[in-house]
Amino acid sequence: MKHRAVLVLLLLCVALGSARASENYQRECVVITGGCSLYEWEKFKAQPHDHWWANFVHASRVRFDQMRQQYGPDAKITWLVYRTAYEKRSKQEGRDLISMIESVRDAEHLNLVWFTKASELVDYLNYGQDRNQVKIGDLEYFGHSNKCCFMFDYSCEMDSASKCWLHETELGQIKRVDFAHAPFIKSWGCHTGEEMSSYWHNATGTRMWGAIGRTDYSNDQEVVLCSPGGHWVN
Amino acid sequence: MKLKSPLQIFSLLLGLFLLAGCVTDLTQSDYAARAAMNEAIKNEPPGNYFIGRRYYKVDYKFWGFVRSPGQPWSTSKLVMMNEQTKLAPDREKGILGSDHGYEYKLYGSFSGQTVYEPASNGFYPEFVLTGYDLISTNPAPILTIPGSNDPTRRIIETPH
Repeated sequence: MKHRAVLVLLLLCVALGSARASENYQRECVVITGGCSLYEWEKFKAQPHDHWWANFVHASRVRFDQMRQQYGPDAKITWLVYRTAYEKRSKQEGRDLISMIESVRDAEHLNLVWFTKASELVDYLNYGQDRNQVKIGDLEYFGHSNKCCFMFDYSCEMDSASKCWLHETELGQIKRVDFAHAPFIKSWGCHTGEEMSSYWHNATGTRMWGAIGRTDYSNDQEVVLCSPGGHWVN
Repeated sequence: MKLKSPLQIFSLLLGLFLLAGCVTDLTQSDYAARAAMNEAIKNEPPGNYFIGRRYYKVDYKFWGFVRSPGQPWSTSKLVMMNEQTKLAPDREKGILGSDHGYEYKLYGSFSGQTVYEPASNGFYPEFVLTGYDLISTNPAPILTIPGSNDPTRRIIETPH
């Protein structure tokens, strides 16, 4: 009886191992870029956010280059960008930011997907590709956030508030089958690691790196932690 | 009185707890003002407007309570103000929170959309403001919990 149990266990291990080995799906890198705020609302603060419209866009672009080095020149990279904020910011800047973002797409050979609602983002994650054939192996977020929520819109329509977000209580909308084995997932936004990473794990079964404390996008080369004692957790 | 049994002690603690729940900031004159306010609300003419009460909190960005005319404050909603058409009175004046507690006749509409306010981690209905008239700078109180009317304290009370 004992020998039979060991045999069953061994067979199970072999079966699981061969299943891993036969993961013949393609891996997709997904970068989500939230919107920047408007001076129209930020001017009422002692320290307004987003002096530079491209805070999040530039940080994403730096990461695209790293991804090409990490995953190869033919890596499949999809870039989801919250369009509404850049349309509105275009008016403030007096120039067409949409076409500037599209020029990044062309230069970096990306699959650019604009979204205006969180549901469009979730739909892309779930159905934007055949998730039996293409699974998310890398997912990263650049944008405004607090410990509970990704805010794709922040201070763009109204002062310090969001009309487009993905809250930690809504993460169950993302299907577990979307992800490849052992994906790399990271939020570069503020405070994600304080609570949302845990909700992410419960909802998707995957681990998301997130910051304890605030993050700073003003560094030209990478997003850095800027709170005393700040660190990354998953 | 000597408390001998656990039941007596429990009863005393329960009584104190319930009593604490009844503590308010209101004075006798406040109660009289509230009664007069409730009578006045009943006589508000219907129309294409709302009644708003500014509820300013230093740390939160909601605007305050908004209700339909003729309806009690218990039916009001704590709203996020969309100021793209018209700035709220305090922002227009350039001093946020300067009108805490003021009562307004508001023009505009509920957009039917929800807004996320990150500081309170709360979701609030959006009210699109198109105009306003000041009704009172010192209306009868609609909140009762001690401290909830203090802009610096993170207590959010809704009228009931």
